[in-house]
Amino acid sequence: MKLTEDDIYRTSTQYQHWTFTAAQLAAQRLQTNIQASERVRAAVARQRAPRSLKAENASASETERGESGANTPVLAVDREVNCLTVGEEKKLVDTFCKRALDLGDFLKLPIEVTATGVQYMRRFYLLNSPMTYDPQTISRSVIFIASKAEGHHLSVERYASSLPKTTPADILAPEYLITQALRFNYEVRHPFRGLKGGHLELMALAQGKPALLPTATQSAQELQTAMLALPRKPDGPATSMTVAELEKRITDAYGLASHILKTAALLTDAYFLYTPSHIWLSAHLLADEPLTLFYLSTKLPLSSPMHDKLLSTLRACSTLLSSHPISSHPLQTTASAEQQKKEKEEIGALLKKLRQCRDPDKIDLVKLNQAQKRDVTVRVEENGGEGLEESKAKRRKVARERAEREADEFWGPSLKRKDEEGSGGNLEKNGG
Amino acid sequence: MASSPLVLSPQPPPSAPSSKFPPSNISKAKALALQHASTAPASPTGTPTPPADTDLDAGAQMNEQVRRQYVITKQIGRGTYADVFSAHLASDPQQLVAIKRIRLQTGWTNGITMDSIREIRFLSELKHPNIILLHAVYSTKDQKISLVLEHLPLGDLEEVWHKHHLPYGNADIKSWMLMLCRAVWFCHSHRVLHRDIKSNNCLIAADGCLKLADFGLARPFADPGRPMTHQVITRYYRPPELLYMARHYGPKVDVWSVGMIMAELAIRNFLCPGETDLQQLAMYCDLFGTPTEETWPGVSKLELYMPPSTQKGMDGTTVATRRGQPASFWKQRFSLLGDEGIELMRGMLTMDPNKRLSSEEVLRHRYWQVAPRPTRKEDLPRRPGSREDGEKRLGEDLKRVAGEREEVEGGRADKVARKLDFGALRR
Amino acid sequence: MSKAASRVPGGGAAKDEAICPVCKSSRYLNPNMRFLVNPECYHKMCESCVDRIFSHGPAPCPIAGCKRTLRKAKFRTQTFEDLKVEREVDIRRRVARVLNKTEADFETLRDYNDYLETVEEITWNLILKIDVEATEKRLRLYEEAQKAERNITARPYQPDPSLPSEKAQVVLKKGASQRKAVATSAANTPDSRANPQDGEVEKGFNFHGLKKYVPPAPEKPLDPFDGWAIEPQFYVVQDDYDVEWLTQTKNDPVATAGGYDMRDFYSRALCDAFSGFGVFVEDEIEARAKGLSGDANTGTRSAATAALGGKDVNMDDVF
Repeated sequence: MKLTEDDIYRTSTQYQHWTFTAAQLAAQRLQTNIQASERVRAAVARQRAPRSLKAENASASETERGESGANTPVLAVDREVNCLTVGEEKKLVDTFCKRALDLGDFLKLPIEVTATGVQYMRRFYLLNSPMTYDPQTISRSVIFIASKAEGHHLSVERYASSLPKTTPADILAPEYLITQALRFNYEVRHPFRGLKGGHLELMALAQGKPALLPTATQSAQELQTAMLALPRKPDGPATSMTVAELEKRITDAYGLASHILKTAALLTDAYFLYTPSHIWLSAHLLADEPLTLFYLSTKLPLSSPMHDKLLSTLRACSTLLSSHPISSHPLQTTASAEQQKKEKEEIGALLKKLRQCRDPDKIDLVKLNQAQKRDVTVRVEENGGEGLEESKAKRRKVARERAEREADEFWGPSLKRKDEEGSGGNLEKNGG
Repeated sequence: MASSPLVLSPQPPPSAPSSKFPPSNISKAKALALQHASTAPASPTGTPTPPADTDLDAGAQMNEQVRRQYVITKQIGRGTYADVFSAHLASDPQQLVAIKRIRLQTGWTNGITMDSIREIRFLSELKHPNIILLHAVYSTKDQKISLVLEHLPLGDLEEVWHKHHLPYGNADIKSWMLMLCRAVWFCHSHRVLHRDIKSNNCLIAADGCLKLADFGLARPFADPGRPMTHQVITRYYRPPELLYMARHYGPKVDVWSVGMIMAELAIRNFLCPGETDLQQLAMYCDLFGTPTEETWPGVSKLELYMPPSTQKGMDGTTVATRRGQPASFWKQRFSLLGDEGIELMRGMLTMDPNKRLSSEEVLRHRYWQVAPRPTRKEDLPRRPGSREDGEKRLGEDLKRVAGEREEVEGGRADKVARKLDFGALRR
Repeated sequence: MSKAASRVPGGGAAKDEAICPVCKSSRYLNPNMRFLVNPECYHKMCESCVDRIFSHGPAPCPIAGCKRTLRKAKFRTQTFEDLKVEREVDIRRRVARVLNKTEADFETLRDYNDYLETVEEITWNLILKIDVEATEKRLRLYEEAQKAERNITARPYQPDPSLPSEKAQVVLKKGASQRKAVATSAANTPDSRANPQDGEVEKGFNFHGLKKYVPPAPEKPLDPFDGWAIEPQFYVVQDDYDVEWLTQTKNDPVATAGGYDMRDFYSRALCDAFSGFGVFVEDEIEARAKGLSGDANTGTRSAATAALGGKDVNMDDVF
């Protein structure tokens, strides 16, 4: 099988499971929102029903209560739960993605760890709503999972102790929830290294010693000359730079693009909607448009039908990237105080609203997690619960031993004990 | 809400449904309510979600769906790291899979283990005929991760030379090595280091195909300047740079391990079974000569490198630079591989990683092209027992398409006249 | 095996077996005595007789009335106690070597069963010594034909030496070179009189419903990569790039000595740079979603939900 670099991306789980069109993405979010609101309303209704009933009629019989509790139609709840909208959910997730990013910075984690964590977070909230699972808790857990996936070992105690009011259990409790929602796809393909690759090639072009594609029509020399004359701004006048100036320009563009990739690209839907290659090129386009367009021309002839398509994709992507407040003023690290204040108020209001519509079943994830584990040990399963077989066997063994002990006390010890357990089967190599 | 007995409800609803309202009614009412609530065009009216799992969130639902696709039949292995089960597809009992269930590690308090995350991460991305196929992953209710893997019933490469007295020749070695080298090349071309290649991680499928498994120590190539751990690769297969505690290394570490496997197959024994890291190094020096700045530029900068004068030989005496074994030694001990085979093996077992062959160069080596041609995978020697009914049948079952199998079971055997086979009788 | 067989207590047979019919020495005197048979005539004699009589080359069987020429190399211990069974097994083995079709070689089950019947008929002909000569000839012809068709060099079919044939008698009297010549000519010249049936004249047998033999395609030169290749479209990797932020690692002797190769990083960075360069999500994902659900309405539903249908956990899904 002949694989091009595009095919390599097509085989990735990121492309297969986590790439969507804008319409699909919106539909998915809407569905998640509807389902979550539904559940929240039902759960709240269930909690309220017995209480209100008790207040109304303390002598209500068991059966009646059961009926009304289970059957309370959602719309009949006196005070409608005010659920978050899709937009509000997204805003919240974005906010906590930003906080996760800040957390990564604070802990001085490598950018891949934080970036992977943020993507886990975004993937998680495609299938789950902040109303169901608290984004604060999730944001801390995803970073921890990402640190494991990216091979950056971090002990959970140390990690938890560096966070305010957090115990290791808080970090670990939602692990399985998250990892299931991620469909066990731990690999995230980032655009960072791609940007470095592009930078390497641009520098080689500037130095007049690039390795050209077999289809290239211009010589290295010609390309260098054209590059030195590139205008500073789109449609600007031609310049004439020295090689050193050009190298500086390329390096500056790299820095700017890298900043965009580390912030805006992570905090928007770029990873869902575009390939890493398109993302870094779009960031570079924002950073230095003439340079990027020139670079593209060395890859694709202007006449190629793919060129137009690529360019419109890149433009759409860069619009998305620049829509984020962080990158709209890429050089200006702090937005105006007024804006910040407004933003803060908005988030505060959202958080307040969130508190009103949390799914009451899912607030304490640690307890939930423990309950699940406990559940398993007592529940008898008809199918697929092989894990349970072990605990069942254990219980059986304990019971038998007790019975034997009791018998021994009465009858005296038996002469010969039966074989306790069958052999566990031969060891398989996979186990190692 | 509590409509399904399978649903894991974190806390049972305070009001259990009475007998007047069977569970199905409730879920119907709920579905109706859902329809009312969602007037948007994207409402899931067209494709109803399975009614049973409404209490689970989306991730858990998907997990359940995957989990229910497989039926575990028996446990076939138990290790410290994982339990292995034999299983089949619920929809088709002929489709066998192996399920590797990661055990909870005692003493590991950091949640899901890094090994399992790494294994899942890389196996999901690498799909190649010589790399074990990961069908799916799910977690059980007691929060153990289960990897649904290809069913590989014929043991591993270590068994081939070690456990059974299987006769095999150069063509067979070539065939196994070629399959292994393809797998390693594929990993490296996808920029993944395996870091635990050894003969018992080379599993053999029912059709004789070799599959590289166990990616628990794998990682992507490091970016420049980023250190990696040197505590990887089982000692017998660990390349000298890792024993010298190099923290910046590359895909050549895997190539060394592959070379070790080739040597093993040729001599039917471990080439260098060192009991400690130092002994392992001493064995390498005995075989290949003590590395010096001339033979391995920069080696003296590695953390654990000792100049030859302070180095101890295997007998404990201080030795001067060892020159390694002469060509005649290799020729005599590895005669099975032929001249080209020895050349390739020594190319892979070159102390200096920069001079060692890369996995691509290995595949371009002329060893593969000279006679004998590698044995076809179906004709490779198999462990005893597999030739007989059980495993052989299994192998044929795997190859057969489902429909055909039904026919066999439908009493077709009666329709075939009895054929006496005396060819198998030995004189 | 022969020991086990000879130890079986079995009335009169046990007595016979204990005494060599040639030298009359008995197991009583020589407990290590082994009996051997020769598939030419299946006459049994002890090992020392074989050594004594046949060590100097082929000689006639010493059993009275049997004048067959035997060679020492052909003597072996018998597998079955009953020599009739021994002979039948030998015959079956020989026939099976020539008539070696399997069910897969036939169009229908019926044809295969017909074939098996023919095989059984041939076998019993040989066992019961019916039409031996004609049968042997057919087998020989068939083997020749098969060999010619498949163009392989296999062991030539050997006629059952225990059966009387006039050629064998003749050969006995001739010299070695003549014997060889007769043998080859007999093998090579098809006898047109032997089988009057159509189609069997040249091939010995003509089985109905046998699939046409398709010779295996000549083996292609071995591709060590098995057809796999990574072929970048949009970049060419250079051996070196002159960038300031890499100089430190490039010149770090510890990194180079450990085998860290900058070229691995270069090719990885460039592959990452263009991995997905030509993948247009709107087009491809749209097509994928449509292909997946079939329904245009649900096409907009998320891929994740669509995947609940089990598409991507399917066993057959390779990519």
